[in-house]
Amino acid sequence: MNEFIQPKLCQLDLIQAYRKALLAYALTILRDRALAEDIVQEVALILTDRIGAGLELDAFWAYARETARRKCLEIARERKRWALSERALDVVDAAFDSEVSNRDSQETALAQCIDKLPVKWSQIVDLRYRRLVPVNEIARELKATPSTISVTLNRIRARLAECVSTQLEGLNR
Amino acid sequence: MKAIAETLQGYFDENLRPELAKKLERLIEAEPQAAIALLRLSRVEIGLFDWGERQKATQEAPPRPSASARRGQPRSLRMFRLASSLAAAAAVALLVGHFTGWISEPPVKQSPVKQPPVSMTTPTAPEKDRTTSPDEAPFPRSPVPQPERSNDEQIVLLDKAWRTEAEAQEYPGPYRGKPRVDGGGLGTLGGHRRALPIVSGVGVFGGNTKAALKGSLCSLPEGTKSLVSIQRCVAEGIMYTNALNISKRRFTSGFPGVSERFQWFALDYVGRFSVKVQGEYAFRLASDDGSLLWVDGKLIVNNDGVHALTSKSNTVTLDQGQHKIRVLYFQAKGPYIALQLFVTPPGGSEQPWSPEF
Repeated sequence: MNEFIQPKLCQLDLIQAYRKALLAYALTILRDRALAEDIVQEVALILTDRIGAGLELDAFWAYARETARRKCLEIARERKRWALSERALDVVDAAFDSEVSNRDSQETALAQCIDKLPVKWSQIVDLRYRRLVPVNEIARELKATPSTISVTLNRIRARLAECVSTQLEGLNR
Repeated sequence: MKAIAETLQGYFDENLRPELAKKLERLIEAEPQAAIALLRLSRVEIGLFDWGERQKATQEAPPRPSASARRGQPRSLRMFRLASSLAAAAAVALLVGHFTGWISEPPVKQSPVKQPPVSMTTPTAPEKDRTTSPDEAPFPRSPVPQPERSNDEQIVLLDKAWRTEAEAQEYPGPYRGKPRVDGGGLGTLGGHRRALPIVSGVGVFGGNTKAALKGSLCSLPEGTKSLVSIQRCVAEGIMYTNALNISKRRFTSGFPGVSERFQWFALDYVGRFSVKVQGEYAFRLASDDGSLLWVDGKLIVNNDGVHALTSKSNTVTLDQGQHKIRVLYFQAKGPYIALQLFVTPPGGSEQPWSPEF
């Protein structure tokens, strides 16, 4: 039986819980974090309205994802920005639905994985994600080329993604 | 899976070549595992920025040993540290939640002191220039000490203040300039939406012709003493403008087509502007009464509070290109208003803010 979401009580919590997953989804489509933030903000507002109108909990996730997808493609068209093709998006959607579990554990797992990074990589993570230093300036500060920093950041992301997956698999066992 | 993840590594590069983007797209189309790997990378990217935000929030805590020093410590101690951090984060989250409906803040000290510079590349929080005055609080203060709020939290609280649940039903158009007035908005999704009225003609604070800044008007309860103390503010209408250059003047005309109000109102302007050269830009915000300026989501100038025409400045380093801007302004009692935003580009002279300079 479908459960109805009680507006006012849990809608903000619910949207907040899905915020990061939706952000990741929009980032996957647009490759632009600022645009992804805008999209998620709009989606959250739409969801708030829909929940108030009695959106079923079972339908919430699919509705949120579908709305985000539509908004992403709209904004990409309007601003002539690159976005994944519709065909690729269908694959991403299927992957997304299978990846929504373990949302709550992800943050903890990531924090633990960051702590395990080599010192040099920790320094780059700190510069890029805490101090929000652009890649070019990180390269200047660390006396490296921007492409070296980009490659290192890519490796860091890959390492962290793998580490988080491993940690979450461990939790599920 | 690992091989796919490695292939996707360049996906978030700022300068991803179109041919590589196409190649990655084809890989995703052909291989569902690639889509999963990409989503995981995206989650990591988002998670890293969130992690950075949390780290910044705890900056004022006693300095932690460096990562290398921590690696020299026993694993149990590191785990204990991690557990403590998580517990602290949870406590902060609970406190923030506790204060969600309670956002009164001490009044802003009206000091003409120039605020410290803020760099967008290495941002620092603007100096807090508030004094404590419990008498100013319109609601009973909690016995729990008020948590230090980040700019983002402050924005969220201000957003929440803009309307209540009941009012949201009457005016489903959300805050922050989101109400759609240009063609039915979200009607295609089945949501009933009533468009907010736009001012008729050109007024002091803006007109009905689309421009770089979109301003939302709301009415404030009498006695409002600062923007950050606003408990609720229902968006009533919108206007557009390309400049904020309203020198001190009497204001009794109201907002034609929307409201005849000339005091106890707030305006929220959101938009974008672009700069041609990278460098340090000085922003000066002059207002009667209070105003706040954000650039790219960072609070740059805090000129809040009830006061006569007061000017405050701050500098910010901007990259070439587009930037987001938001100006909140409120007028308390009295017929005099003023709201002026000036910019001094690197190596240039001060000029009124415009969508491009």
